[in-house]
Amino acid sequence: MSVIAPNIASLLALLAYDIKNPSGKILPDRRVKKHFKFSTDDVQQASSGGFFWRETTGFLLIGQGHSQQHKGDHVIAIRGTNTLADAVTDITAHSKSNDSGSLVHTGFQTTFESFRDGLATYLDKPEVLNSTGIIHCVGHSLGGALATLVANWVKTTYNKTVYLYTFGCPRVGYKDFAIKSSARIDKVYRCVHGSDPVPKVPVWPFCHVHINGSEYVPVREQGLSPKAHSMETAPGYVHTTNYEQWDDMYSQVAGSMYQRVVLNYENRLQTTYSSHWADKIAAALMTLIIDGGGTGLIAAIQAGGTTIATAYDLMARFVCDLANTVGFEEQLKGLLGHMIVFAGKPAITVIKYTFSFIKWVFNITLGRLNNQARNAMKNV
Amino acid sequence: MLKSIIDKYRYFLLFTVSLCLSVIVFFSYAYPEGDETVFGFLKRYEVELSAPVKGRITRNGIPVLGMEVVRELSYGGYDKGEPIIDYALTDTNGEFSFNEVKVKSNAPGNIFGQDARLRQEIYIKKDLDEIKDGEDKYYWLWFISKNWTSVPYLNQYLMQLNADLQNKELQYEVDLTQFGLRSSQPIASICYWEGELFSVYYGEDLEEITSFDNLKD
Repeated sequence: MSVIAPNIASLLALLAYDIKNPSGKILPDRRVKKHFKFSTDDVQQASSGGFFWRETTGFLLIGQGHSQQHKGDHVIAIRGTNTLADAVTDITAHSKSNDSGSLVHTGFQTTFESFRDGLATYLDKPEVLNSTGIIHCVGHSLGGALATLVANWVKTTYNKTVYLYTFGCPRVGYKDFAIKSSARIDKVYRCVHGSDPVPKVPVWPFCHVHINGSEYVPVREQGLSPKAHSMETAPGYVHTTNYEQWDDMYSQVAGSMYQRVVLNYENRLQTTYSSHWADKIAAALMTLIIDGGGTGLIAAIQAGGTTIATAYDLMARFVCDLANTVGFEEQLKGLLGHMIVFAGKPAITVIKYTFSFIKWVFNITLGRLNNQARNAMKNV
Repeated sequence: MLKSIIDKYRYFLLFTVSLCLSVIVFFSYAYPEGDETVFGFLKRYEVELSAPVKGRITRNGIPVLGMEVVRELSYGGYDKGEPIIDYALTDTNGEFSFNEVKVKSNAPGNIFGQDARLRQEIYIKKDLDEIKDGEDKYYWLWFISKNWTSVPYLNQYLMQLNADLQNKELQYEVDLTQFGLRSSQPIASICYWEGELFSVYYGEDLEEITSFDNLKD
């Protein structure tokens, strides 16, 4: 009946990758076995049992707590899938209403729906239904995104105590989803490496849960690198989260999209390709639109379920109109200058205030952010 | 028709193709390693699904002849994780062996593929009457689910799959920190090994074992 320690939670997230394989044996670390039992330890039970979905719907591994700390608890460890990876960086991908009516990424919601009924069969069992234990949802990467949807759904449907643990999790839904699920889910432990690019996609209007931006950051290095996303190879979430207590790990409140940021064009060359600057540039864009009287536009985008591509088109149009309004030139120039350097084109020093130019700057900025992930995914 | 077009644009086509090639060559030399190379995502890695395997099976100390040993290898980044299955029979001395298996994959360089699991399963099927209640249907000589990286330190144990079928199945945990991997890599086996990086656990409660003598019934 307590929080899963970070070192155990990350081992559970890694263990979830084992269920992709059709073979029946699961061999958890002894530290995991000490707290949770997986019925797949026994091959015969697993093939007849109802709570181990393989190949066709093989995303979940469910364990039952038996230690003093976790007796009566259940853990749902979820793996990601390569096929979802394309969807995450596709800025023209649509969002979709989830079970409670909030907008979330179509790719995540569709995958979640494919195993939701199977999960319900498990949760509807009397011994699970009547238990007062905690439901722990754990996942790495795209599995973290699915774990977020599972946690939100379990809380809404079963009203149990639900804790969520994610490692290198992308953004799952729009602001409305982030606000509501942050309020619903009892505890959220969102763990990220400073240089992991995956938590930076999909870009705004997608938001992280918890909405207050709190995150655990065991490695704070800057600059974005795909290696930083791995569970096992250095830095590797299983190594960096080797703590007994979440309180022992560095935590921070991530830079909010809604803090006020104005960028000075002269300082643009300080920009680095890093998560810090990704957040800062996003906040500066938001500030410019709000300063220019575009709060209505932002609200409409957040509520409307447009694609990311359309959202940034609308913002480019708005910003372009602003350029002709006295007083906004400097602010816009600063923003575009920083974006161009972030996108890796510092040689471009001519700023034009045409729609096509602004749209191009937005595209190369989003492009660079999505690029590593998208390129990396093409061949699997 | 096509021929005339090719003739007409021959030099243009040649130029385009050679330009493309030189760009590719340039980039592959300019960024030979690392993740952020332009063609990094295309890089194919050699993944060792299994190093050579050797072992000896006995029952109550007597070599077992003609016993079928199965090796199942699967890797999430190759053939959708479908297993490659090999069989070997023990000889008069109870000995068996398997060759190494290597495949090419680009999953290790893929941000979402780098954690794909590589499983090595080497086992002997139990006869139906040998399966006691709640027991596994296999004698596990080797079960591991690991990262794609080859670890020579672990591979040496694949050459020592020497077990008596009366042995108890143990859970080993290997500290692979010095190889940049996890500090507690689990392996299940009925072989009795000692290694400086190995810790050995047995039973439902996974109690630490210091001597294999204590395991006798």
